[in-house]
Amino acid sequence: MLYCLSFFVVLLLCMFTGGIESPARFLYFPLIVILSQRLSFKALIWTGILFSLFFTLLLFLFKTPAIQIPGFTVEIFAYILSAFAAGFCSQTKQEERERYDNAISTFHSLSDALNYKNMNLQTTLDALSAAHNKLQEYDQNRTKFLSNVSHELRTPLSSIRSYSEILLNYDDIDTDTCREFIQIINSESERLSALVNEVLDIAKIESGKLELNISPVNPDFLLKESEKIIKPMASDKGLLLVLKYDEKMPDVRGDRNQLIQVLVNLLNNAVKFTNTGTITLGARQNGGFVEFSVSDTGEGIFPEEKEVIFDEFYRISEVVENRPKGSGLGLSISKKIVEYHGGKIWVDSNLGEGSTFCFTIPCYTGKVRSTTDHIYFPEKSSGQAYLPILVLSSDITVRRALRKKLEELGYQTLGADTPARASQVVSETRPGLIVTDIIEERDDLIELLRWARNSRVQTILVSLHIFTFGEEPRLALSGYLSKPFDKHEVMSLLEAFNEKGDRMVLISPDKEESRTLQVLLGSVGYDARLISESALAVRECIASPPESIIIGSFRKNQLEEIISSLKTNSQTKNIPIFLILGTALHNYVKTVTLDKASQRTGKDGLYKLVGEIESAYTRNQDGI
Amino acid sequence: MPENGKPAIDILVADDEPHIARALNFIFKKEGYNVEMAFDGDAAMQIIKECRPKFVFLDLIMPKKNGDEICKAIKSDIDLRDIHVIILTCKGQELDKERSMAAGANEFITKPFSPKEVLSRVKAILESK
Repeated sequence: MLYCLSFFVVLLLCMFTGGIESPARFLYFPLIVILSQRLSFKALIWTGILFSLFFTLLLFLFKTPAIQIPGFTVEIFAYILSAFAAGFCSQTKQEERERYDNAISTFHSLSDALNYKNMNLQTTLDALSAAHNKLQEYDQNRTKFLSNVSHELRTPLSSIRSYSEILLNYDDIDTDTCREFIQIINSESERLSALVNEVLDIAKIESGKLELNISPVNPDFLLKESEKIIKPMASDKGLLLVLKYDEKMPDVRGDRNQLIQVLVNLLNNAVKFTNTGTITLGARQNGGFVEFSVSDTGEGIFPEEKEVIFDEFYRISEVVENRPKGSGLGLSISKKIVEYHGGKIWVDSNLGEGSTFCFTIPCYTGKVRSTTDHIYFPEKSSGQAYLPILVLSSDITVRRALRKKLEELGYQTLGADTPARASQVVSETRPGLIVTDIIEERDDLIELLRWARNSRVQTILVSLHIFTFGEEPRLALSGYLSKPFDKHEVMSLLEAFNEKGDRMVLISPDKEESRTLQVLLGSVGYDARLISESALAVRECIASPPESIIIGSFRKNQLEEIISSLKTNSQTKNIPIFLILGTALHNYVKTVTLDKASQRTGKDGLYKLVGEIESAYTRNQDGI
Repeated sequence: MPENGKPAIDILVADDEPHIARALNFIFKKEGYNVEMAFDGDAAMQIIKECRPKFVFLDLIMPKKNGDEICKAIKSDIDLRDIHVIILTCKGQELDKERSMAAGANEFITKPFSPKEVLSRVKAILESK
């Protein structure tokens, strides 16, 4: 528009420089050339036409004498023609500009794609390098293990060989000595046999081929069976064997024989290292686990040995006559079995005062009712006075909505928005249960969780979101992957939702954790792609939906955003999402997540949470 | 001459596995040799100094002192240098053998071994000394 005005300026100029016929009007020509750089074809044509019209108008208005028709026509013609010429120039220029812009944008997108590929390549290289280092480490450990094993095997073999050769070559050995030697051959071959079995066990566990026969197992039964096995050995040494356990213990989830093996191993050690006194075999419930313990009044363990004692082939170094030598594998096998079950094993000991070995096994929680047909909320058992539930969430809408729901079902609730506030609340009123969605590993949170564990108040961790205003909070996550990543844990978590070869997307700003996980996933047959920028990741997931999504360590609001975007988009709302959880947190909480069935229905599992709450109260009945 | 008037022994067997030590002890005693046993490195060192055995069987891995250490100590002591040291061990890798030889061991035998063969070696060497 402004440009067109310039033409009027020209005309005006004409008026001031001696009328419409002044040569100033020829300034049109350079002007139209200049404007061809700026205006479009159409605009230039219109400018030309308008200028001509106004010129003609002004000409007639001022009734200049003797308008030379031919000259005038040529002039008008010249104006219009030059407008066209300028228009064509402008058009050509326009086209060139477009081509240039296209070229630039193609260049940019190629450059971006290259950068992106480069980044992924770098990540892959790093992951490969990490995998390589890990493999080297495994290889070294294997070699060490094999060398240790062969050493261990040769020892009893040499005894067997020496004594059998002696017996063959000498005729004049007295009967007692003969018998003694044969006894040695016999016990050494037993020792060899036991060692071979243990090595096979370890190999099976390491390769993940250990088949656990999982069923609900009664802790009572485990204790009594182990007692039966150990009793003769204990009595021989004059040791007292005592059983001590809670009356009503829930069943644990595990393989009966494996668990007995662990108990017998601990009892064996207890008998071995105790010369006088008592061995106590116990079990008690602790939150969602049953804690088994074997205490003795023996020598005790050096503080620096408490951790390494579970290492393979680690043996207490003091040599004592008459003490049968172990292989050093018993505790490491026990540790592997316990961890395979999802529990923990540790030892408390003081030198000279004896030791207590403890391990936990998760309780057997029956299958949660979760079919696609009927989803209902379990009724609170009547006649039970339950302690209130503490709902801890920084999101006020989630907190309110959850409290409302729970109160509708007959539970009393307390609320808190921060762990600090929660600690205050629990110091005034003891809750029966804590439900929280906080996953940041803050000191105040860990403190609260520790208090909860010590006070036998179960904590349930659940990721709740409200996607539409006025709706109930809904579960968003299908599982939590705890650090450090354990291959078996990750596999069993993902297997419920995925097949081999499935594509996954890892969204994490933490390069370290994501690379480790990427390598691990690759090694178990999943195709994992890493994207560190959250917005880009969400766009990618929408554009080409993967089979699962794993989210890493983000801040709470970013996490909220990511989950909301994924769950509200039709392409991605049914994709299972897993969250990486810190180590410390994992030990203290029970998580409630979606399973495949509830994922499919789209009615995202608040009933699961409520079911869990109900079972927690039922289990803890005695504790209240 | 031994240090404190204790009778000189022919052979010392040092191994933390009592069965192995006793097996060798039995064989050598049967042949009429004077044998002593030791179950850890310090006891072995002490017996070597006090009783000056002609032959010493050392296991590599023992509490208190390792076989290699004892071997080095013996071979660098002018009075003990002539003792014939045989390393008798489960660890049979090239590296272990090299290390022991570098420490001055006279021979290196891996378990399991044939007591008969060991006996004939000992006989041969003792007779040649």
